[in-house]
Amino acid sequence: MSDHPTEWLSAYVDQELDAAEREQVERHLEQCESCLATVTDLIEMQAQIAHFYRQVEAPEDLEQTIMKVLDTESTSSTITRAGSAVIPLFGVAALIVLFSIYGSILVKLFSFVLQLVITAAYVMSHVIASVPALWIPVMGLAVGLTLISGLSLRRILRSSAQ
Amino acid sequence: MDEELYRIIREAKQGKKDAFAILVRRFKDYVYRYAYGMLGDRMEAEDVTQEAFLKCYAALPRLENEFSFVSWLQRIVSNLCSDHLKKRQKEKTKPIQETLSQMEISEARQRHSAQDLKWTIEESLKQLSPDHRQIILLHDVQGFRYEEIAQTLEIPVGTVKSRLNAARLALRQIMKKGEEEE
Repeated sequence: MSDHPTEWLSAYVDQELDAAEREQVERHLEQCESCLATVTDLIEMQAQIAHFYRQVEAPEDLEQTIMKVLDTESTSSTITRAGSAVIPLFGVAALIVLFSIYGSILVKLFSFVLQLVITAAYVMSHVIASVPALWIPVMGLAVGLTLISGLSLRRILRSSAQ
Repeated sequence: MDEELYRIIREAKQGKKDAFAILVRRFKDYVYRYAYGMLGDRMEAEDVTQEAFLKCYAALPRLENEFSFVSWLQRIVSNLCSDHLKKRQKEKTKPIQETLSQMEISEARQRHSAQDLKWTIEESLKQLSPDHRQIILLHDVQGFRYEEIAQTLEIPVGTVKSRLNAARLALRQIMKKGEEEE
């Protein structure tokens, strides 16, 4: 072999060459001092790296720290889960109590608001019908409001999903 | 890897904390060693190790089979180290840090020439590119074979072979340079 098989030397050291490649490198190493020196250096370097990092150890208290963080996280998530289940139940209960106490007043208030909305819609439709120029701004406003509410809803749903 | 370990991994997957604590005990040095090798800083390596195990605990139920636990854990810590290195690069104080690391290197040079010692393997590794450092650590420290490295890094075996070769030759050159400077 006339060329130095430099690109194979590392794989040779790691015994990751196939039989033919390995034989080729070995034949070259018998004649080439420079490649032999490289292989010797690579083996020595590998041993040094393994030796150095075998001595690197994690701090003794790391395991306790990790387990403590896990315990804290699971406790807080249990509280959050319990909290998220209790809040809607509490809300429903409060609504039932309020309705049983102020039920009649609430029904009257609701029918009054409904009548007010119906009247407002009736008046608005008449005004718009009598002034056709108002159609365009009203439609624009309606489309704008729909878009804004749609975007807000999307943002709320995304933030609650995270 | 033995049956006992697979049983512990299965139990940890079911959310048993005692089993997970055994996994932490067994693999903390493994994770920390790699993080320290990549980041060269004990505090940062500690943070990454902690982060890696928390991620591991959260994602463990999604691990498809317990046989691939080690390479899966390795992938978690590799990704975290890459994120930390990227964050480091983005930091505004980067020039200061670079100057500091240059100062550290020159201090190390002075120290070592004074003590008439060779460049340590750690100092030399720090000067390699993250890709080169990573592949050397995966093979020589974590004990992965070429095929396993290829799967973990999602690159062809041929690339593993050439990258590891280039990394080692670069390391050899750095160490030789260190010797010449003394």
